[in-house]
Amino acid sequence: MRSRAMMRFVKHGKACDEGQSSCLLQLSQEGAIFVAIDLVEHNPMMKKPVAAMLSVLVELAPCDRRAAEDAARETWDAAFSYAPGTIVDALERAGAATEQLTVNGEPYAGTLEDIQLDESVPLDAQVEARLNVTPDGRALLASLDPAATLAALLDDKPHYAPVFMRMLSACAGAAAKGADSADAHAASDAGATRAALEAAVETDGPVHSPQGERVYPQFFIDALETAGGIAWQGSWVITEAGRRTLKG
Amino acid sequence: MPSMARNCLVVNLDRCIGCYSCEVACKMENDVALGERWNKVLQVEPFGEFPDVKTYWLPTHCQQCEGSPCVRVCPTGASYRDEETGMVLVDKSKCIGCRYCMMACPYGVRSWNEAQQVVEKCTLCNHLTSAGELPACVKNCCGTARFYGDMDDPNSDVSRELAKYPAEAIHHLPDVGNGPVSAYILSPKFGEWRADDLTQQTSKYATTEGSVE
Amino acid sequence: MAATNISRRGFVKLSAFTAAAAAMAGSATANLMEVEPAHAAQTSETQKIRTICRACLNNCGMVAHVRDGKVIKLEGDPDDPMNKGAACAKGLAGIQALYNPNRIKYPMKRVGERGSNEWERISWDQAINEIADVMWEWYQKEGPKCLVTSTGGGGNPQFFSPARFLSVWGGGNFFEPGCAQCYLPRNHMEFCLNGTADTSLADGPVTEVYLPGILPDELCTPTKTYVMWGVGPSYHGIGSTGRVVTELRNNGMKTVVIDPRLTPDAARADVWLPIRPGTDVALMLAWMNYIIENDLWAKDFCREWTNLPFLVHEDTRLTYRASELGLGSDDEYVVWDKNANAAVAMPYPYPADGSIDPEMFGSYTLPNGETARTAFQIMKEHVADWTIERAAEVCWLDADKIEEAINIYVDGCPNAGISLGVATDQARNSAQAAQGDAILDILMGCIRQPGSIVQDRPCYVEPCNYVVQPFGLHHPDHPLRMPQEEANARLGYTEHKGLGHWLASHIPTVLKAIETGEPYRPRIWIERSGNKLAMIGNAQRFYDAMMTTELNVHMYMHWTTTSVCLADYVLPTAEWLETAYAQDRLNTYAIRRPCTQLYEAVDECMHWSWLAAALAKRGHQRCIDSFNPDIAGKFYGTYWRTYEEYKDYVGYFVGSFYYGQDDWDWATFDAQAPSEYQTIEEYAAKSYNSHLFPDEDNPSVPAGFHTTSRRCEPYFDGNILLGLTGAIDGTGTMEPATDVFPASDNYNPLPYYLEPYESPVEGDPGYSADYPFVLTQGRLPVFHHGTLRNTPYTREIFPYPETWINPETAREIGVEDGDWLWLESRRGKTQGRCRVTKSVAPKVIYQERFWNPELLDSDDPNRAWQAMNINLLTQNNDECPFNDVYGTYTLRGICINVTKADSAPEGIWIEPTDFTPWLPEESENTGGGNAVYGA
Repeated sequence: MRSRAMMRFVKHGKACDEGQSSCLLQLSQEGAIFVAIDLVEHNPMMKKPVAAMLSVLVELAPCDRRAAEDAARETWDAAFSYAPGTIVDALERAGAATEQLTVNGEPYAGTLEDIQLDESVPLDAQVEARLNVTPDGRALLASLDPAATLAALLDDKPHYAPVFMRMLSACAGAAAKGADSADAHAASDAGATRAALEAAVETDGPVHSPQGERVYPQFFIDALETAGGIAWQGSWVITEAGRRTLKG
Repeated sequence: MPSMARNCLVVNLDRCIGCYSCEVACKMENDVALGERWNKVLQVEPFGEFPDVKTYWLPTHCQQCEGSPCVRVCPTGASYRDEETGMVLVDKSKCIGCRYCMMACPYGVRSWNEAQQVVEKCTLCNHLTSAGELPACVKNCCGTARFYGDMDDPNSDVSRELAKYPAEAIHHLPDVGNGPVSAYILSPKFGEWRADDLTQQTSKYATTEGSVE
Repeated sequence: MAATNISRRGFVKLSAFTAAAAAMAGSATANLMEVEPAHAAQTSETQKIRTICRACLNNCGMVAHVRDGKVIKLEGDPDDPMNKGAACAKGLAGIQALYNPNRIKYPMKRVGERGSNEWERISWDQAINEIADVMWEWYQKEGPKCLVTSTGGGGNPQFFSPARFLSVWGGGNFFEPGCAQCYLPRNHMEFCLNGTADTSLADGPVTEVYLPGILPDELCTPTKTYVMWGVGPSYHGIGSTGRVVTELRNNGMKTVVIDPRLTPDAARADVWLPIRPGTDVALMLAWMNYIIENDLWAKDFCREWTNLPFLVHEDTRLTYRASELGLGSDDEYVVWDKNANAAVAMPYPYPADGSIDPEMFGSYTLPNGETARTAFQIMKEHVADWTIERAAEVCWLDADKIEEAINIYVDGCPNAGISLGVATDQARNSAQAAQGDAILDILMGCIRQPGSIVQDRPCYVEPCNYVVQPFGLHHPDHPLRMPQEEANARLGYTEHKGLGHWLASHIPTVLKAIETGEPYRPRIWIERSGNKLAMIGNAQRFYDAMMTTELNVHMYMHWTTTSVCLADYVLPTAEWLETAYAQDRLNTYAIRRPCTQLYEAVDECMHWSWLAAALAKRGHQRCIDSFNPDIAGKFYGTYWRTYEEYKDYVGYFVGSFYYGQDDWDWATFDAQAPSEYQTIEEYAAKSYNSHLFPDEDNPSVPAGFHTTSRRCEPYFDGNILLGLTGAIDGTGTMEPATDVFPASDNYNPLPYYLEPYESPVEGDPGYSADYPFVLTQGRLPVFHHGTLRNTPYTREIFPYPETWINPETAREIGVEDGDWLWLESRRGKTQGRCRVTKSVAPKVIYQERFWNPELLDSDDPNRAWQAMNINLLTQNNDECPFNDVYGTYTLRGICINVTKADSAPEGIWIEPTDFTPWLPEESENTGGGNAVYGA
């Protein structure tokens, strides 16, 4: 199920960084872009590790696979439930990255398994796996940029905008607010506890959807985190993108 | 000739609910291989005009025939009738695996043991009955439909069950001169006995006239 | 670019793993496990252990033969009063399930992508702690609503384990593919109307049928007629229910079977009504009409012990209270007295002196000028159009046969009754069918009479005597009861208040919440049962949603589609031969004794307990409290750090609730079980006319029924209250609740018929020529839900799902017996194999749920739940309305098309010898996971 925010982002080509927009205008490759985006839509757990790996690749590419994975590992979050190698494989399958094998510097058509079985390749030949990012991969990274996704969120749900803004304020505050509870970690100096955010959501009582159904604080926390406006670091803190949105 | 008991099974098909417990209990007790069955449960596909159709389940096992063709054709005497109990059994040590007996049996109730390369069949769980227990298929039957005992003993379970029913409800599998001893009970209200007109479609189902038109 | 040192020789894949599930297709030696040293005493003697089965919910008494720590044989226990030595194929397959080479033996963690079937073995310590870390983080980030749990297994004994955990966790959701689609509608609604019990034969409340032969003859009135409405004991239960119904039938009990299939019970019934799937309520309304029109209803009982004479407010549809009309008090109702020719208060109990003679029918003018009808008049008008002929047309039945069936039933009343089975719980008329069934037995006075199906022999601990209870289930003030606010926030509860009876959530609403994030998004799914992708309606939707969660944990005994296709962690649970439990068997209490414990498998109650302990360590206050006996209390027990602690709680539970002994532990229970907790005479007699026994609190009045009015309430106006306020038994005031939203439409006090949304009737708005046939499902005697497809002796009997097609329809489609087929609905397509049979009516197709364990090991494990799974066809989305009270989606009675396929699905196993790799592999008694981990 594709988020409407994501779809709109692609269609209207809202770019965040220069050089990205040209990629996005390749709507003739719509199908391919959606395969890449589908990767994270179908597996939201992959969103963060995909973004992390793509950031590394965009900086280093074209590069050796091993080197890219080592670089990613340096800042790899323990909470990612995928290894860097798994993400590279997933990106290749989704058309966001390509891998080219070389044997002694010469391009080799085939996989690592093929090389191992290939009698014509000398046993001590030098093998490299070279990674590159495709335009789809760049577009995917751009689509994951919080500035874009946050803007899309507020655009998509204007009736909830005041709630989101209150929450961003609460996270930007210097002191942690909210009821003390034995469940909470010791709050960090910046940011808000969950209780504080829940209070920020329901300042005027329970929130209801335009259809009249109750919508819980968790929905708002989830939406803001997914869009990259807040992040969890033992308490809810505001991100750079969130700060910029708050400033307006 | 000394009088021999005629031990056999009687199955009351008014009660049989086609649960396959007897089939599986037998396999478990006797370590029967996949694909082989010493007691196979067939359903006679409902026959008649829908919805006034009749059906019954027919567990089929060695009928302990008096004139067993399997005993007659066996070249080595591996297939024999026990003098005391009247049971038709296989002495695996004598079986040479020619399988004439399997071809001779009109009911197809003898199995080939691939691992041991011999023929085997229902033993009426004599390893259990000799210790005073009932055969596994009888013990576990969920319809209380299976009975074991000596047909010639009026006090046996088989005799007492048969005595509850009129002659029109008591049946045997088709007799082609082999004299099956085992009997089945099927009251006419539950369906006409169709043993002479069964065509096996799959391992579980047999059709008869009126099953499909 | 830096050169690397990778050479062809030296290249190593980044992540080392072992594909545990690769063992599934037969490399039986490709197992990971090093077997732990044996714990059990080594002896060559064979122990015979009396225990109880759990292959299905018949719980038959079994004797397990154990030698040298290995279970070598199973047979029925002749001394069990319900199965009396019978044992069915499912129970006998227990050994093949126990020693299946592809058990989940150790905690496993996903290595590759979700669904890639790459796993590494980890310790229990690592598993519990890693899962707890994720749970704790999300709890802090978003609160308890981040968790959704599920169970299944059709009455698995630890049914309320997830709910117990959620009560401690403090919120979240729980669902089961059954629940609103199995038993909940009957379990809740029938009791609401008859204030006594539901009529499920499979689930336990029908005890009367076991009494003949146990109760002395002079005290026993055997049931004269048994109507089995969508019930197939020969297929669902066999050892206990199938056996006992066969016994009674052979002893002269008359039976009527209402079932689209010619089951063994249908084949032996006096009348079989092959009803069109989904039309049961239409037939029930016709039965009601016939009984009322022909004056067959039980006069005294209906007048004195039901709310049928009560006057009803025309607008609110509630029965009047005397105080509303100035005729009496709040707790009195209003009737039209023939003697006074006026509206009078009806007190409780019904005056024995005959001073009030209420009109049963009619419309009357009240003192305030309003007109009001009696409830019975409303019912009579409500069903007046449902003639036998109309029902015959709608239900595809013969009118004469319907009449014959009703009369057989009526002749047996009141020593008779109607059991309603799961069939009607599987379509959107579920609540209404339960109402209809209860109304019929009430009209005929078949309540608490000798031989009646409805009897007052409640479990001492509702529901169903489950040992593991959610905290505070019976004590609203319990500190660990789930906070009411969180309970009210359960997904789907607002619309479908009946779910509250089982503390459950609405599956389609859960999926929608995962898909859209609204009203909040469940993040973590912990599932304790087999095979959701084979059992949930519209499986593709479920798969798509569950692929997007943050964490999926599967607790089960065998690798299934849930584990391979969806799980991140897989935790081994125990087979019934490895667990300890307690189960009532009529007037006795039986015990399930662990016969062995394998690998690192553990009874699932410990999984939840260990997670609670790990969360307690991290600071979750309620989890901390759950281990504190002063807070948890003795009734619910604390959570358990070891299996011994749990077993002792089981002993305490039985001793305390059933034997009046507060100090039992497992050893005490074990020493004397199975044993009587009361005599069979007491057990039988405690129900007969028990509504006439002196009330416990006020002995000068009769006890009555467990309803608001203390009478049976066939006109169930409490339904309106339920929808508005969530009052689960329809009691309480009509003050609008402030903490829960009312359902959008009032629930109806009387049953009403809904034509199946996808209809096979030409001219109906739901008809489509593309899907002209109607599909139904139903049990087979060798499987229990999704289980036993991987035990060789059961699987070789039914290696593939059979598509039962009437010969006339087969000719119409152009298929023959044995042909492979495609079945298709608006939601998907799948395959089956044709069986041409007169076991079903023309245009009615039967195929049971199925899945293929052997395909888990293929390149595309998802084929295991797609190749031959009718749940790709069934419905659970908003296209088709759900049942109002329970949110039931539609499994039976959807419309499909059938065409011939070129071939069987690729890679499936169908020959008996194909299943050789699954033949049992003996394994040592290791003490299970309890031997290597304790919280």
